[in-house]
Amino acid sequence: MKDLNAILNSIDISADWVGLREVCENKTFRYIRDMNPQSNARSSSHGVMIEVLSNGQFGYSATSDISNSGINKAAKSALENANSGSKNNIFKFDPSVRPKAVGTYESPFVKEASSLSPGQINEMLLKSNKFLKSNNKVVSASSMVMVVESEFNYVCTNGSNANQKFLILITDQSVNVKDGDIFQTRSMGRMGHQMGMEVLDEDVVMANCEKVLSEAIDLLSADECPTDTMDIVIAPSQMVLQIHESIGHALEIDRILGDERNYAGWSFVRLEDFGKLKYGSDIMNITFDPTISNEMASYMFDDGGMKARKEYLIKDGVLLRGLGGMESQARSKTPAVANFRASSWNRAPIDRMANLNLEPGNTSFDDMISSVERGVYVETNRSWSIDDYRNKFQFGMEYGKLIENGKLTKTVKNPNYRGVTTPFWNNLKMVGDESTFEVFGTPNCGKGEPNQVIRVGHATPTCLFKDIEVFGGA
Amino acid sequence: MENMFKNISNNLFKSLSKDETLMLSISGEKSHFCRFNQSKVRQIGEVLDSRLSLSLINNGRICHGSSTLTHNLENDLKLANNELGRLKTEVVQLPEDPFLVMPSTYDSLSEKNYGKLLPASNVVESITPIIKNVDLAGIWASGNIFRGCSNSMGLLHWFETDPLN
Repeated sequence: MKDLNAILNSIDISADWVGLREVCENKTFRYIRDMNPQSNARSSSHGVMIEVLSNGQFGYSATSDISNSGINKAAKSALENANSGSKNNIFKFDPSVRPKAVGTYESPFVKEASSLSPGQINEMLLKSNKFLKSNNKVVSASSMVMVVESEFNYVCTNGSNANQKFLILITDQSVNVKDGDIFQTRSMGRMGHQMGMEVLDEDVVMANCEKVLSEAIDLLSADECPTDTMDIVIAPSQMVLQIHESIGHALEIDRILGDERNYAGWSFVRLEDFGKLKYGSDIMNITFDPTISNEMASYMFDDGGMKARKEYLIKDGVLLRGLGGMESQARSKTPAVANFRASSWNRAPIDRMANLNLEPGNTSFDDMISSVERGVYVETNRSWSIDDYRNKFQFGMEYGKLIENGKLTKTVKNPNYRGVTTPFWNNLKMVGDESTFEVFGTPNCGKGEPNQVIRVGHATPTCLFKDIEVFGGA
Repeated sequence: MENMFKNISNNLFKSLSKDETLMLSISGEKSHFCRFNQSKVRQIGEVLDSRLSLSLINNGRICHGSSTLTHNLENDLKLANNELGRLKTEVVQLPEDPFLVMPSTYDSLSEKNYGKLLPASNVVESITPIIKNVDLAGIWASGNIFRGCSNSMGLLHWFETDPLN
């Protein structure tokens, strides 16, 4: 990494504020399908984003030429951009939207990335893949791991000096199975965590494979999910997408302000809804929480230098605050959180989800199931669709079980449900306790122009929703 | 950048053993963007970025790597050679790929389409009068982009253009 403070001190431009954000990231993707290697690839990215504030406008210049002269040249370009943009800017910012950030963060891990060789990782993937292929109804099996090592350095003229390091593992095992004209898929959902190579513990990987294969075979002889309005118990592996799509994106303040209307979409939420809108039932509590160990998007500061703290976005069902960094807070005059994030050095930060969680409640899984006379229990997202305003949605899952008279009974295939965001969340009737709480994360949330794909975390318990439109048939 | 890519390619191909085949590609941009909302500037900036990708084949095994380039030939030769060294160490540890397709073509093409783009400093002044009476949300993006590929069998292609969106 560079001596950013020395470079910052060498920049000779007349501006209200200057910041340098250096990112160095290695991403390694290894993937075996049907016992053959599909990918052994590592991409390395290293560059610096220079931000300059002048006349109330931030100008950006990202450069992979990270020499002193390269960064100085980029700083001059950033200043020109700021001055040019200030002639017609949407908001006149001041340096207070880039607070001073001093500190370090390192994500927790037990085994570092180099503790397993490429050969050892491929052996593990081949072993899991061989097990997944062990049934003659399996037409395709996949085993993958992605290892992400990132380091961020951030300095600016107000004295910021922050360093953050992340080690993230994303894994999955999945099968496609076929019997006649019945075709089903079962997987572990391709989730990630801030953890080390301990994720590739052989016992854990093989246990996942056993679950995936046995449930996939089970699905081939299962009945179609019934179509009716009924209770639905949703496991964390599907709650992740429900939270992401119908809460996370809806509450991004830059989206509410219209920045994404031509691309990622808008939101049904209006600024005047904060503090008033009954988003969900009284037991719905949603937090922005950067402090959960191992969750994918835990960090100390966002990319604007704001210190990240746990905040309630929705408390007892009432919408309190949105997902917006200091710039959006200034523009909207609403309180928000430290979520001004860029996917890499070559993108300007925008409002993104980070860790967005549903807080656990008081109900055990068994009590939740035994409270249901007729319903369905569902796991693992398979498909999603939601409108531009984050209102009407429909989700498909990989796996379901009927609930009849308080008991889990038959497996059902192709479970789906649909709803409208606030009526759906107001039908939240039970929230699982800590024993049902799981920490997940997805590496592929897309938004912004130029486009940015970023990693987000979602931790959630199992939940019961009443009177939801459930349907089958894929 | 075309000459830099040729230099890097020739340098890396010289270091291959007889069992090794190397495929390279390069992509990059020197671009300017301006995001608008309510017909006003939301964010404005530039990106200078280029990436070299390598795929090394050895005895039926393949692995891939890529690295950001610094636009300094000496630095970038070092980066490229380090990455090739890493691939040489890794590829022999990997399982064979029975579906591996060996490169077989070795021709050359170079196409460059330069345009007369609006200078970055004029974008806001030029666009603002046109959009001031509407509610525009969108992005202006323009600049130079390039793509190149080469392999140790002798293939070399280059494409470069100045688009705007």
